[in-house]
Amino acid sequence: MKKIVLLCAAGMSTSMLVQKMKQAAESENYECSIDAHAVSTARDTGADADVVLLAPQARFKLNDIKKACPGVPVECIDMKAYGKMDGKTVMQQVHRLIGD
Amino acid sequence: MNMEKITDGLMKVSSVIQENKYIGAISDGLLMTMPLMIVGAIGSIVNSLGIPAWQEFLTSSGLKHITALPNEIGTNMFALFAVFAIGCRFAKGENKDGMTAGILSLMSFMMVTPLEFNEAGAMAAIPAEWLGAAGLFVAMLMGLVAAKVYCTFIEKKIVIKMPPGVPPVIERSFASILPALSVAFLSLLLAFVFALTPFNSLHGFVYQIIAKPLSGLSGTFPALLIAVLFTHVMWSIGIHGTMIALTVFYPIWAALDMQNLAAYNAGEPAPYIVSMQFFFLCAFAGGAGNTIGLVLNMFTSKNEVNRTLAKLAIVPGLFGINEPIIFGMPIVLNPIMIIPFIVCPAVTTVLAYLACTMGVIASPTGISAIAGAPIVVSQFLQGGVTWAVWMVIEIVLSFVIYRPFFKMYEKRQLAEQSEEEQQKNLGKISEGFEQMTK
Repeated sequence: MKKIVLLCAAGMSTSMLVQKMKQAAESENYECSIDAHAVSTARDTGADADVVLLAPQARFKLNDIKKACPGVPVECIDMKAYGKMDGKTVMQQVHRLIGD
Repeated sequence: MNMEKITDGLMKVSSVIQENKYIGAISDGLLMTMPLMIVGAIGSIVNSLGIPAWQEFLTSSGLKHITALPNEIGTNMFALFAVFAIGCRFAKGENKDGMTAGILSLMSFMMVTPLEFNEAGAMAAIPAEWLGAAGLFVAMLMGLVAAKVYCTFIEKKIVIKMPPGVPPVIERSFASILPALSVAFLSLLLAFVFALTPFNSLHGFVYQIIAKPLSGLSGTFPALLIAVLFTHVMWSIGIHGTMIALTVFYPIWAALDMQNLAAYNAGEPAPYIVSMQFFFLCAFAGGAGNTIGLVLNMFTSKNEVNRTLAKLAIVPGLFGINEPIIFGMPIVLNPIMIIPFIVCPAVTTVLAYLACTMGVIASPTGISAIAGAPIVVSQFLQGGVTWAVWMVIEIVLSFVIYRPFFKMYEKRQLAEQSEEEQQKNLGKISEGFEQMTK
């Protein structure tokens, strides 16, 4: 069971993507938990995750988040995929980061 | 000018503002008080509902004292909650114990607040004067100072050391003795020194020297317009401009909102038009950039791509979330759509401000947005009928302003598509031609 955490300003727009990602993960029978949180909570919510994804509009926080979640792969979500709420593409990014 | 260079520059600005841990702790700390603010907001609505029969009922049944409580506590005692939250948040950011820092912050705040004593020298009352909006700046200051002192002591290991074998819980409580005493000493010193000045207290000093001029400055129209423009320039390169602008403005505007709310509950006119509440009234119909009008334009598009995106974006848009439009269309780095995205909120900001100064729409009430209410309904709850009507006007304006730019964008989009198709067809024709000649 992998833990995937999405971060944006307040965790609102990422929560929309979470739904789409869950659908994508279900269709590929991938066992994981996916949650959306505010960037300010990264230390509490992301430090024990398997992968942390950052919404593009908060990408200036990337270094902060990396510091708050040591050892966790952290990456920004592609703008296009984010705008289209493309859960499949973002799940591919997850697989690449986790390495499965 | 090179677009990439501009983007990089703005990214750096964002990082500097956002990574300032002091400003960050204030903003995040204030955000932590959101549940309190929402209780206060709903309380205000219930308590001040402008229906005579309801007000009569409240007074005659003696309930008025009770219905006034949520707002009194959420507004006129706000600084008490804020100082705790700010101290807690700062220490958490430093990876230290937030609870201890919060308690020390609250302690230091009360020490610099003038208290009333009876003849026997015992504490008799806590004057409410500095516990609300007027004390908010000292709350920010002492929240940071107390938490910083605490974190520095722990970081530098200036703590009472326990012999090995002492349980960790006991060790931890001993570890906070030295920082606690230092914070207390520093606060008492401030209380003593400022009592000697004409300001009477640290509160009086900070209010006169910092809070008043700062509120005066940030409560002006140019400050509002700068915040709105900055927000949208940032969003047009795909950075959360609202978040960055508010990191700077929220601490000050929150104080203005509080003063407006206190005035509203007292039945007095709002001291400030420009405030946090007004900022969101001006330029956020459907999210940053008033994009709800753009979404409505997209529904009428000849291009199916636009209609599909509009269907995806309309519902979140009603709740102020518009990332699907900003990144999906995209507006980001789109030379045509950036223009209305910046111009439209600027226009609505100017008009809303004018309407409010002329008394066409109601003054701000300071009631914070109630999460989960869609646009128009949300404005109705916050500012009454005139605010709801204004919101409808804002939606119409945004539809009209976005219209010509959207048409231009659509034309280009269709041209590109047909070019692709033409090339495909051209390819087929030339293939056919080649086959014929073979």
